[in-house]
Amino acid sequence: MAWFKDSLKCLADIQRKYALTVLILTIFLTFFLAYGLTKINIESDMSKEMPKDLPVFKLKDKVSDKFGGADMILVVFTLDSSINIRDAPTDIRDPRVISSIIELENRLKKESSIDEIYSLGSIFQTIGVPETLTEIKQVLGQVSGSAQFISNDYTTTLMYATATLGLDENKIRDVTDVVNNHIEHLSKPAGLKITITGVPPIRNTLLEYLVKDIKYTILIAGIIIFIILIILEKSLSKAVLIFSPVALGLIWTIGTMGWINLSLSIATVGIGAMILGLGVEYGIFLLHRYKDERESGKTQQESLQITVSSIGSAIIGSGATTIIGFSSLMLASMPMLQHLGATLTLGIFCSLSSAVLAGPSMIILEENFQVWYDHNNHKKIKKKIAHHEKKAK
Amino acid sequence: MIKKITTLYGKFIAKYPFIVVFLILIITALAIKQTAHIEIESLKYEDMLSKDLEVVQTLDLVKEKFHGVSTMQIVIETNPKYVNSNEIRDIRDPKVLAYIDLLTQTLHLNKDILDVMSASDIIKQMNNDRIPKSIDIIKEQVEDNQMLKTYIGKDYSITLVKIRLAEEVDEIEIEKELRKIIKEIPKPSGLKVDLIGEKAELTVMKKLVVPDMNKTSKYALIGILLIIILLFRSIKYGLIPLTTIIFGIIWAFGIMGLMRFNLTAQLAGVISMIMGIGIDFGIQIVTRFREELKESSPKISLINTINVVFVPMSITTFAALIGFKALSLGKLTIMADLGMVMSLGVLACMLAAISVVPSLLIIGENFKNKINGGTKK
Repeated sequence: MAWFKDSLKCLADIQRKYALTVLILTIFLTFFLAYGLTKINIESDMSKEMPKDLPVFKLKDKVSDKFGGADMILVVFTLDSSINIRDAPTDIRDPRVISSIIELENRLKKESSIDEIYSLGSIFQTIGVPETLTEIKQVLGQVSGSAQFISNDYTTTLMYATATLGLDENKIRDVTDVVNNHIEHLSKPAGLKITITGVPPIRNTLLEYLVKDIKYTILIAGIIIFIILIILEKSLSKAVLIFSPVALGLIWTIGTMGWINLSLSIATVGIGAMILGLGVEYGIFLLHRYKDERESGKTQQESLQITVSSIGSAIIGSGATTIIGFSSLMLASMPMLQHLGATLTLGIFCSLSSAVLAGPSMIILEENFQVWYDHNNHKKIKKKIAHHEKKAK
Repeated sequence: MIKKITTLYGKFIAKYPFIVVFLILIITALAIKQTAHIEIESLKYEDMLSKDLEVVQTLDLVKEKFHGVSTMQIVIETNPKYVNSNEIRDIRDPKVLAYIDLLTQTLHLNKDILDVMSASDIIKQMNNDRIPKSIDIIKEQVEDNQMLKTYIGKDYSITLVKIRLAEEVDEIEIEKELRKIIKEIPKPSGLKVDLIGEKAELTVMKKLVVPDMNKTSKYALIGILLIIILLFRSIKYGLIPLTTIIFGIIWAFGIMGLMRFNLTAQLAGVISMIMGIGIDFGIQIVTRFREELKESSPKISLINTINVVFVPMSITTFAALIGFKALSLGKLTIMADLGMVMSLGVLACMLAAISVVPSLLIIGENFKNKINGGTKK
């Protein structure tokens, strides 16, 4: 292990001597990896996270092939009890409701993306809509299977729209938007509420919130952690020094995921916030150890050598254990856990690399800048004092 | 102020390590008892989203009004094994429909099954409540009827029996029951019968959780142990940090049991993740203690270690907790659950690191000194 610590000492010397060069190289690397952010793919299809070799999933795929129309959107017509309008329908079998259902069914049948529609409207398509509720009840009483479309309290009815959407997120979004668009432009009686649900709309919503949640959780976690660091370290520059390697690590992680085509999914949506929370310790230990050594009277070179060799080897060791813990997930039978393991392993590796490779140079540059700034300030103060003394004389 | 507290705490552990270990063991025993309350549950798409979203509220409305939208499907396929045999080769065969009819009637007897729909129901409706004996009649009726095409595959080798289930039914129980019914009803030769559907998938997922958790945790533990033995070049100092994650995980799961928080398939990897994060705390304590030991006595080394490591360790724990709690700010509830479990795990590991590890270190050093002192005599 002595050779390892000696290597880290050499690294420390390079990081001190060529601090600015290291910083510039880090920035270039960050820009390169950041380009990968534009290639990142987001996966909302849970079936891709399931073990495909299990009989139940193989059979499901077979059935989809044989039947098509495997995805179902439920269009729910319900009477809004909060609305207090005279002449509003009080029974979902109301002729005005049936007319709306038929209109929607006809609109959706024209869409090539929709395979089949099943609803109460189908029963009245050929015979027309009776004028009174009583007549409708009579017709429905004679059609077996009509009860499955109507709730027991006669306030809700369902329309089943099947489509073959598969794994294509764009298709799912388009079909969901098409159905919503038709619903919006539908003529319907007051008091009738029409909403959609089912696996495709839920997946569409999941995808929408996956993207929002990734950005939101990273932003909130980042801001809070940064503020906490400022308060605890009592210094903006120290907080920046601790936070920067972690932020770099996060960009490197997600950028690399984009480059190597590793998708963000339901399982890995929290990667950003987790990396921010876990990676910050590397910067904390590095900075604290360096400051302690400087305060004990050691030179910049000695302090950095001790910091990088001692803390550097400790955080590499602890980082290695974290990587082992996360990478063991790649041995799980569920692809979901495998993806999570791969993503987290990459994240910790990038955070560790940025802390050990770029962190020390940033610490040196910050210290040098501080010295230069204080020296400049001191010069200015001396000048001012001399000026006042001259004036006094 | 913090330094005063940590110094007092360090002195207490150095003086009474066995009392600390005893208290830790009691807490651990209580935690183990609580872990019995943790159950494995399945997670559906709609469970991953916040309840205030319209698409989830609509689904809840449908479940409330129609008592269940959960479905399973019995898949009946032709599977002849012998050439020129009498085995079924066309799913429209009257024998298949008669079998499906018997199956459907038996399924209706189960109280958890709300509705059963199959090709035989439609054929019977078209033929005065009976199944035609001639396959040609059935073929003609299948060609003309759109509804039948949703039950019979295009190549006539497969048919579906669609079952609507009550929402609250347990996946494993209903799957067992359905497989029992399928087994008991004699089927025509040349047919293969199986189950698919959300409940069937959830059952499979549920059954994978524990084996996956065991497998990933085992490999994580072995891998971590090897790394830290290599790091410290010592089996004793390699094993002591492991107590951080062992006790930390037990305490975290104990709290989860107390909160009646259940595990889903998606959380099967949390133990490995907590191990990977929590071990850092143990490593930091042991590393610093060994450095201090080079210049000071075990007691002073322990006090210095706790003094030096406590603040940065608390900051890193705090930062990790913020990162994990931020996951609960989104609309995806699955992330909130992961964040909560990870927060508990990290906090428990930190507490274990500053209680278990220092106690064992000082006990180890005192024991070593006693032996060396005995040898010197």
